[in-house]
Parts: sequence; C-alpha cells; structure tokens
Amino acid sequence: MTKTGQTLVKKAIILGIFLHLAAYAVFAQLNASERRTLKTANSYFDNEQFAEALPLFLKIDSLVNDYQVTYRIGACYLNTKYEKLKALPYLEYLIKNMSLEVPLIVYNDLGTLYHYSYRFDEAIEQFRKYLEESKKDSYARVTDQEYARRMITVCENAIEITTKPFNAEIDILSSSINTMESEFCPMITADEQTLVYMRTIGLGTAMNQETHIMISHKNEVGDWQSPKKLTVDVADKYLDQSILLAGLSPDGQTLFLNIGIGANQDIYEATISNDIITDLKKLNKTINTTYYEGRVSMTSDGTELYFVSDRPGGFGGTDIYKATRNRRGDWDEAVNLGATINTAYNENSPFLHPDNVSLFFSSEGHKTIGGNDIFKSRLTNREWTIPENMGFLNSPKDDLYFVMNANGQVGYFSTSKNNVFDKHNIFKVNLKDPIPLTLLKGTILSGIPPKPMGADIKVYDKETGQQVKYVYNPDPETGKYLMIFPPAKNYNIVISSNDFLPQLINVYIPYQTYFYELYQEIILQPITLEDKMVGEQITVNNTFYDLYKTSEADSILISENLPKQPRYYDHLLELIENIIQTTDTLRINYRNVQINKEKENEGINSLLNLIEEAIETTNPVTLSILDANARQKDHIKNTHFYTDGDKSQSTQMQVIGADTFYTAAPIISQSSKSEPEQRKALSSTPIEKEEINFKISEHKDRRYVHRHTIYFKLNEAKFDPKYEQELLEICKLLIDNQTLGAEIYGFTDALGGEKHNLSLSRKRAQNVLRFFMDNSVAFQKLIVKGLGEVNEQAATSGNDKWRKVEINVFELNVE
Amino acid sequence: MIKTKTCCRFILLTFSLLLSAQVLFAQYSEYEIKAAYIFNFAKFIDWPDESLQSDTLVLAIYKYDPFGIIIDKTMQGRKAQGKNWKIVRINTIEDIAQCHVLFISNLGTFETMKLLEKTKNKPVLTIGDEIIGFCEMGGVINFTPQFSAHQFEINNEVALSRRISISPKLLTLAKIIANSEDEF
Repeated sequence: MTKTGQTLVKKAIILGIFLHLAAYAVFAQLNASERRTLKTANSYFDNEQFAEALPLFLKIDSLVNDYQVTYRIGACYLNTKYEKLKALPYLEYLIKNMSLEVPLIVYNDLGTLYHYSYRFDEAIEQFRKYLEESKKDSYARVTDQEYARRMITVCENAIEITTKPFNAEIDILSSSINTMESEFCPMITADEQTLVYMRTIGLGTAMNQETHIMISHKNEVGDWQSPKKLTVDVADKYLDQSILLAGLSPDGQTLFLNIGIGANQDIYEATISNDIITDLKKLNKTINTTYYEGRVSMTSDGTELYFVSDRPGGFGGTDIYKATRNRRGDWDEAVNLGATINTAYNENSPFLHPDNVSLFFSSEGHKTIGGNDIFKSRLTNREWTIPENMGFLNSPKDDLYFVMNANGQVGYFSTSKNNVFDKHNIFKVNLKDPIPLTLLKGTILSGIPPKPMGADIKVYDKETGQQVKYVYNPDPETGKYLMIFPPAKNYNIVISSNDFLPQLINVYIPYQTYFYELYQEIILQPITLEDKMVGEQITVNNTFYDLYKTSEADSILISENLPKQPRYYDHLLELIENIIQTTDTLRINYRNVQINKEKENEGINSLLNLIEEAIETTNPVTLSILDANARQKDHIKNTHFYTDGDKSQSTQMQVIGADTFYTAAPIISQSSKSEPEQRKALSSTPIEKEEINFKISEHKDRRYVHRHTIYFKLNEAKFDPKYEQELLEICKLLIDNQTLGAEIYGFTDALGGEKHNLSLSRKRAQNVLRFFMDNSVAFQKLIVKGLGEVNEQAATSGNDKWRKVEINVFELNVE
Repeated sequence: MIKTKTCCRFILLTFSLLLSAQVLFAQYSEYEIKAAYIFNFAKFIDWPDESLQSDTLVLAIYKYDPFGIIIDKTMQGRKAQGKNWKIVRINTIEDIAQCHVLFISNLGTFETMKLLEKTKNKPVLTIGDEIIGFCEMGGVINFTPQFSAHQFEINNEVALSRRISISPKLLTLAKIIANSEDEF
C-alpha cells in the first residue's frame, strides 16, 4: 500500500513543479503570511516531509478551495503510517470533481482505501476507472496498471470469501496478554498450556521501539496468567542484532529464534529454562544461508522442519522450504515446497499442525483478500492440496502467524484489524473441526514421596520397529513430557533412568475419529528392606479426557451392563442432562470457558442430588450410568524384584527394531477409554492370580529376592525381640506382594544330640512361622523346615553363627 | 466495520448454542463422583450418639490423597447429619483418633490391615478406594472398579461391630461382603 502512496507522491512532485504556475490562482486568494505558509508546505511536500507539510496544508485548505491543496492533503495522509483512511474524503472529493490538475493514480489510491475499509465493490469500480483512463495516458506506468488488475482480483476474492458463512468464535485474549503495546506472533504448545509471543513497545510513538519475547502459562481454570519476559542468554556478539521469535516445538521444549541484522536473519534453536532462553545453537548451513531465513515450524515427531527463506531458486519473494532430519540427527538439504504452496509473492509464517499433514501459512499470493492472508493446505498422497483461504480469519491488511492446538479446536493469531496504530493484538479462535490425534501428556516421578525425575525416553513404532526420532525426554525440573500420536498405532516406550530398571511401556492407540488427551503419570518407587533396595514398583496412572464421546458409546454401555428399566431411564437421562449442562469438568484442559463458582457449585449440587436420589429410591441404574460415564483413572502397577538384590540380573531382553534392550517386564497401557471388557482384562494383572501354590513349587523356579538370617542363644527356641522389626518388614513385603513366598529354615550348632538338634531347629523355624502368621502372612506362602545341625561346620568356627533361622524371600517364575 | 461487528455477534450466538450441545457429552471424573458418594454415605449412615458430640463431621484421608481440591469443593458449605464437614489429611495411624470417616486409597495390604486393626470397634466409617479385599479385612465400605455390577461393597458385620448403622437403602445398592469364616 505504501508503495502506491509513494508513486502517487512522486507523480505529485513532478506534477507539482509543473503546476507551480497554476498555483498562482491560489496565491491570489491569500494574504502574505498565508502565502508564506503555503510555500513552506509545498517545499516540505517536495522534500517528502509529509508530517510537517500536512498541518500547513490543512490550514490553507480551511481558507481556500483548491484541488491541488486537497490532493496534497490526501497524499500526505496516504503517506502517514496510521492515518491513511483520513485521505478518503479528500480523494473522494477529487474524483467527484475530476480535473486535469489531478493525476490519474488517484483512482488506484482511492480503490486501495476502499479495499482497506471493506468497500470492495467501490474499490473495483475505482481500479476499473484507472485502467480505462490510463489507456489514454501515455505516461501511465505498467506497474500501476498491473497493480489495478491484481487488486480487482483481490477484491473479487474478498467479496467471495467475506460473504461465506463460518462457524467459529473469535475472542481477543485478556488484558494480561494484550496491552496498549503491540502483541504479535503467538506460538503455543500442542496442549495449549504455554503461549510464547512477541511484544513491541513504543510503536506509534517517538520512543525507541523494543521487541520482547514473552511467555505465559495457563492456570488451573484455563486462563492465561500474566506473562513474563524471556531474557536471552547470549554472547555479546549478538547484542547489536535483532532477536526475534521464530518458532516453538509442539512440546514446548525447543524454541526457535531469528537472529541477524536487517534482511540477513538466521535460524537458531534454544531452550527455555527459568524464563531464560539459553543453549543457543545456529542451525546448519543447509538451513541458514546468506539470504533471509525466517519463521520455523517443526513436526511433532521432530523429523521435519518447515521454514521461510528468500534464497535464489524459489518462486519469488519469500518461499516455504522443508528440511528433513537425517540419521545423524542433522538437517538435510532443504527442499522448496513447490508451486502449489509457493507463489511469485511472499509466503510466510508456516505452521505445521501436530497431525503433520495440515499446513497453515500466510501468503500475499493465492486467493488473498489483501496483504498477507492465512491459508491452509493438506498433505494427501505426498501432494499438497491447493491452499484454501482461511476466510473469516483474514482481513484486507496483513494476517500472519496462525497456530493451532493439537485437537484442532483452538487457533491463535495476531492482527492489527481495527487498530489505528497498526498495533497487533493476539486473538483466539474456536474452530469446530476436531482433528483425530492423541495427545499423551505425562509426568515421571520417583521416590517416596514422588518427585519429578529426569529420564531418557525412547519411542518406537511397534509395527516398523523404527525409533521415533524426536527426543521426548521429560523436563528434569517438572518431570513432564508430551507426545502426539496419530490414531491406530502401537508404540513401545522405553524409559531409562539412573536409579531404576529400564521400563518398557506398550501404548496402544486405537483407531478413533476424534481427538482425545491422555494424561499419564508414571511413578517409580523403590522397595527397600533394611535400607537395601530389593525391588521397585512402577505405577502407571492413565487418565483419559475423552471429549467427543458419542451417544452410540453411551448406548452400548447402557445396553450391555444394565437391566432394562425404561421408566427410570428417561427420567435419568433428563437428570444427567441437567447436571451436565451445568458443569463442564473438562474446562481446565480444553476451553477458556470460565466457569464461575456458582456454576461449579451447581454442578456439584446436581451430582450430590443425583446420588442422593438414587440411594433414596434404591435405583441402581442411575449409579451404573454414572459409573459408566465416569472419566476414569486407570491404574496399572508392576512390581519388579531384583534377583538377590542385584539389579542387572533382573531384566528381560527386548528386541525393538535394531536395538536390544534389557528392561523390566513390559507394561501394557491402553491409551483410550476402552470398552468395558478390555478394561476388565487390563485391571486384572497377572499378580492378582489367586493362590499361587508356593509349597509345591520347584526349587529351580524360585528366584531369590532377599535373604535374611536371625540368630539364637544356646539351646533357645525363641528369638530375641530385637529381630521383630526386621521380621515385620519381611511380613509387610510378603503381604503386599502376592507373587512372593518365603523359605524359613531352622538350624542348630553341633553341640548336643542330633535328634534334639533336629527338633530344636524345627522349633526355631516354627517360632518364626508363628510370628509371620500372627502378622497375617498366609501360611500357604511359607515353606518351613528344620534342618538340624549341619555336619561340615563342626570344628571350623564358633558355634553361635550356626544357631540361626534363614528366611529366604523368593518370587516364583509364573508364566 | 459495522457489518463485521454484527456478523461477529451472530457467530458468537451460534457458537454458544453449539457449545452447549457439545457439553452434553462431558463427564464427571472418577474422584468427583467418589467425593459425591462419600458425602451421601454420611446421609444414610448413623453414628452412635457419643461420637456425634462435636459440631463437625470429620473426614480423614490417610496418606495418599487422590482427590486434591475436589473433595474440599464438594464438602465446603454443605451439611450432613446437620454438621459441617471438616477434612483432615493424616500421615500416621496415631492421628486417626477423632474421625468419623476414614478414606484409604492406594495403600498396601499390610498397612491397610494394620490401620483397620487399629480402628477396630471404633465408630469410624472406613472407606477403601478399590482396595482388594478391603471389606474382608475388616473395612466397612469399599469402592469397586469401574464397570463392576455394584459401585461399592459393604461389610455390615464390621459396621455393626463399630456401632455404625447403615441404611437398608444403601445396603440394597451394595455388594454385601461377609466376614470370612476362616481366619487363615
């Protein structure tokens, strides 16, 4: 737009010199000081000092009526940054009274202003007039004619696109994010819990402009908290260069920056830690050239990088390129996305949705309705579809930086629409098409009480055995990780850490047509006996957020599990509808819908009343439906004991793809709200198998987990009470773990008769047995033997160490 | 500009309608429901008079707390037995002394047994959170896993020994567990 403004001015200058003669007519109407004012104004104008010229012209305009002064006021306004539209009445006046004194380009400029203010029909009219009139004018420039032709198409696009109905809600973000300054370039994590954006301070003022990178997190109720400024921890060499936000990985662990001087921007990757951007790394030379490299978007599996560059060999202006990660983890040669995406105009701000097939980008070409518009294209059969204008999002001005969360429901973008100073604000748009993806969010905790833990996570596609290249390691401070999976795939997740056995978790992601979120909490806890680690327990808690549960699913649950009682059922559905309408338990993760306290209370009240009424009327159907609809936590627990306390001997070999792992027994985790039968199958882990017969187990099947010995006084069958605490700990271990059994073997020294010794050893073992049984250990778990005196020890050493009971805790290898 | 504004308003309206339609499929979470059950249990259960001297009904959560803030929100400002609720989170058996309801979740069998033994014959309504064999070990009410035929099980013999009387309505809805004959 400024370009045409400038051409107009240039023409005006040429014309102005020519018209100085004609200006005498104006001069005649003014007094001496006013003439001086006009002279100064004209000289400012000729020097392109429009801001200074404008007030002077306005003053003259109030005194005399002159086309040239009117025209110059229009031209001055057109050259302001924020008041272009004020030129409208002046240009309209000129067109109405068109004369030879007014340059033809006025048609184009008025058309441009009409386009700006959504008056597309009128704009087309003006551009057509220009084309018509300029045919007669041998001075008319080809570029201006081209501009008029292009703008006619753009306005036609705009008429078509802006009249299309759409179902979406656009909201401006709260005042903590949007201030009087300019906020733009929003980037979100796939789970929409973190927002990173830029804020430019001092736009539209005489102050020095400064751009900051800001970060905000969502609080419990889904509101953005007040943002913090991210400081960039860089070496001094970047100090005089501009540092801009370029991209954010879907899990929020990697931040991309543009650093450079002027048009020579390069892409860097970095991490955020404690509101400081650190670990800056410049991407390699296949990405960064001597030309401009700008905005970045990375696929959710980290294998592809989409970015903007104006390097030679493109289709014109800035184009979108793609680089693929090679086996060494570095980026291979970047490829232009091709003519379907890139045009002769500028393409910018690519955003690849976490589904890895939907690309959003902005372009000044394609079917734009003016300036940069946001477009969407999908990758089908390795081809990009023809970009579609995002319609309602776009304005005749520049629309850039569109991003979307993983479920495809919420997008963020910034626009200067309706802002006089061209200051951007960040908007949020609620869309309606869910995208069928699974968002797996989780935390790894360890110890008692559980604390966040750093770990190394590897993810394998189960079918192909290929490792998913992206690094999913949790944030060591929070223990949090985030993965995004397409439907109908199975994965193996291997978690390794320093203190525990490597764990293998199978994740099954079934086919589904809707989006859902799985929250996984992995807790690793040591099992200790006398301060020695004898085993470990892994608990996997899955919580499903199944947003798009269909009514069919409900009917299945009801028909399978409930006695048919239509009388109750109607009433109940009504009741449930009522409750559900007053509450939305998913608000925390899904929408910014703010539920006020009253509403929340209403939800609780409905639930309480529902249950009370069900009990009052002894109505099991209500309770069953409530139960079937509950968003459930899924607990899966595995306990691993080390063989003789030795961790390294306690693993199973797993071959995944080309890698071999030694891990603890695998855990199966279903990442969907499964059908009832499946759920039942899951909840009965092999550990719950009833009554393992320890007594008839063969010796070779026993894997010893822990050995413990207590000693006795001479000829004494009772053990010293000081051992009680230790024995109690063993009891606890045996009771809490159904796969564990224990051998209790009694011994004596060589003193005294053999027969007496045998019976004494039995008594010793039995005393321990009694203690175990008194403490609720099932006797089926215990194998008790008196072994009497042991021959070979006779003369060797002191007798006291043979007056003992050995307790050997073992685990049966149950297959 | 005016045109777009009215347009936005219209969209806002249609969207809010759609939103309410979507919300229909939202669900309660497991622990919201469990909290609501606990609240209602108190309405259908009578404690002996001497344990109802104080003006609050005390719910103790032992060690592991799966509710978080949910339980506080559920109980806050609502009365059962004409009393306000008081929620305490405790870590040792010794702290149990004066509570009416004791909620136990994610606890090993051994510790559960010790805990139940410690409160034996006291008028404490012990509620287990899907603990295997909870009622058999001497617990009063145990929640069952999702999709079970009954949502909770009750050992009424234990309740009686603790001088807690449970409404027949509640008993009708529960799976009844009897004390096992065999102490082994």
